[in-house]
Amino acid sequence: MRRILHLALHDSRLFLTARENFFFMFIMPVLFMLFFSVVLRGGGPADVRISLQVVDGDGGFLGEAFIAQLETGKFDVQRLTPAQADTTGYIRRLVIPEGFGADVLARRKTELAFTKKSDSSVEYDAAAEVRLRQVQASFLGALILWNRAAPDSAALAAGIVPEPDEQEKAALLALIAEPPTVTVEQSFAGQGRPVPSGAGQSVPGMLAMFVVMIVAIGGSETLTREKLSGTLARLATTTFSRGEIIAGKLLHLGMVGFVQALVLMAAGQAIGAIGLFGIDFTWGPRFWAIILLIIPYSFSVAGLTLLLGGLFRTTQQAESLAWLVGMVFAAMGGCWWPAEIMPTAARIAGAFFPTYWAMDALHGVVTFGRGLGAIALPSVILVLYGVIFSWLGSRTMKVKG
Amino acid sequence: MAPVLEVRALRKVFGDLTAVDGISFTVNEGEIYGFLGPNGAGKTTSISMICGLLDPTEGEVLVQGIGIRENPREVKRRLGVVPQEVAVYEELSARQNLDFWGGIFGLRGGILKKRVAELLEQVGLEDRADEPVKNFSGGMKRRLNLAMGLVHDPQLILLDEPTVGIDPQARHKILDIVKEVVAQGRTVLYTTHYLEEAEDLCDRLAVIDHGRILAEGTVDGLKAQLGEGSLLTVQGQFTAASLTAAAARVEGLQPVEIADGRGMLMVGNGGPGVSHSLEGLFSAGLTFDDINIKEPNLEDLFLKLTGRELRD
Repeated sequence: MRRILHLALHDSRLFLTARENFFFMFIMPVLFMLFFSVVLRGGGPADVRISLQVVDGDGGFLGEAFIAQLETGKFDVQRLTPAQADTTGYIRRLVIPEGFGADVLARRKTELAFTKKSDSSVEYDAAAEVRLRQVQASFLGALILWNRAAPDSAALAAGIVPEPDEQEKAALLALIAEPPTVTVEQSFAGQGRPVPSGAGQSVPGMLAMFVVMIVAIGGSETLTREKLSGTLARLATTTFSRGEIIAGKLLHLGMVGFVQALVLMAAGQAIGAIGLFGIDFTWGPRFWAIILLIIPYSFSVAGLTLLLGGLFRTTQQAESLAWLVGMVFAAMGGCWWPAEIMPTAARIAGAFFPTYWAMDALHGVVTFGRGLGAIALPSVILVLYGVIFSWLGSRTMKVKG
Repeated sequence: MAPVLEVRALRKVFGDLTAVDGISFTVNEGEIYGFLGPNGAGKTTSISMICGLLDPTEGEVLVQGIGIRENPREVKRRLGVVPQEVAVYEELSARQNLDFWGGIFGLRGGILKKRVAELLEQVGLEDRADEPVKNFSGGMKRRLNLAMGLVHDPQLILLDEPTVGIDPQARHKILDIVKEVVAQGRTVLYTTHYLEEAEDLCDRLAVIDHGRILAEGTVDGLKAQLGEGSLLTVQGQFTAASLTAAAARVEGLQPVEIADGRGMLMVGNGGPGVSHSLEGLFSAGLTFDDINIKEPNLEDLFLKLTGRELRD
């Protein structure tokens, strides 16, 4: 083990001798993390008004009052008459039935119809449904506070429901404009999971991406240069076995990946703690699970780099193709955008990339606050990736002349 | 002297190409043994098999009686390999390079520090020891390349064309270092395609081409294979048959290598001499555009053995 460590520390010294590696390892990833956190901040349905077409079949005051309540509930309402609705396309539509106001005033059951197009965004549809429940509850709360007397049974029997006067109308609209007295809290149950956004997506994403980028580009370029310069072959003429040489290389690459991940963990936590550019982020109370996760993740990336180093024939190939590989791994693994918003086929393909499993585990810890349960399966898969890549890498790496 | 290196029927085949074809030789303690041959003769492949970098197709390599197949680690501990390419870490200093390679062989602490300082002085790099190697000249890099093979004080040093691509002054420096190392009791296997180096440096050498040893012995012994005397080289408008016939009629004149338009002939000592030989050839009606008379060297031997020049 001492011999392997000697080799790994030597390679790490070589890595740090190149001054540009300080920039690529300590500065650029943090800048990217900041940039994407700011750019992606506010993304997703949680922070935007959702478009909703409302067909007002009632046409009365309470229909209007309900639409006013919808607008306070972060809906971007397009109001239509039933005649207009027949000729207008829609994505999401809510129909207020005829007689809505009279039924409400008479304490009779009334039904609103919510429909959506089959090709609309599942994510936004779900958010719209949740908001409708919230609006419904808020409206009911306002009606209770409005406290308008129900019509007497004789009037109802005669089909007479008195319209509220102007003072009453103003009172209800004022109640709607105020913060609701009845609210509905939303949370995800069971296996349901929110789609990460903002810093919750970009900080783990940049961590997973830059571990691949820094190790795969820098490492495969160094390995290729060592093959070409003859230093790798020279190592093979010493008392070091091939296995020790490979193990030393893997240990060095893994150490670089681990340190890179730690740097980004610290940077992400610091940015969130300071609230730089309004970024709200924390790794959560189970951050230790991420430290455990980055060990198998770094191993898988080290194995990948060994394989790339074995395949590349020139340093130019290493510089360009390793960069490309890093980009593909980042994109397919969901480092740039949440895997949840990727098309099904891309999401299935993404599961063949280690970055996907790293992101899955990172979201499990960061978004759900889970610990070992979030990292157990991804860690096993990442170790398997590491073993397969390392084996392939050791087969392709031409240590000898 | 006990053999430090024994190579027995070593063979290496790459697909259809036989790079080394059953070579056998021994190198004795304190000896510089040369491998002289053109590029592609099989020198580097032989060295690669001896140091364990390549597995032989057939044959055996023993270093101080230990087989490299049976105990590679023990053999490699005794070997210092200086590859043909400058295999150094250019980003590191000479001292850092030597520290690393010393550490590879288990040298630590004060022993390593002392050994590195000795070597830096020996190869004349002590003034530039802490500078990145990428700033070095080609000759300085070659010297460091050599020092890296010596850092663990090996018994047998394999030098694969260590002077390729450097100026004469730097070459002499390297040859001096090799001589010093041997004077300290080490043994050297030295490959080269430079005749002067082989003649100047090697106690014994093997002439190798197409993976085979064509001749082996001391420099004088090998030259003697051409015969004692002067070497007469002629060029002109004649056929090989006419020159051969004319030479046969001149006393003491031995053909070495004859082809249409050119010939190499040995004028033996104790005979009538060069003038008499030339007169004999002229009297046969031959005319020459160029005549050269010189002492025979290894190049001539190589030409005799292979029919082509060493630098072809």
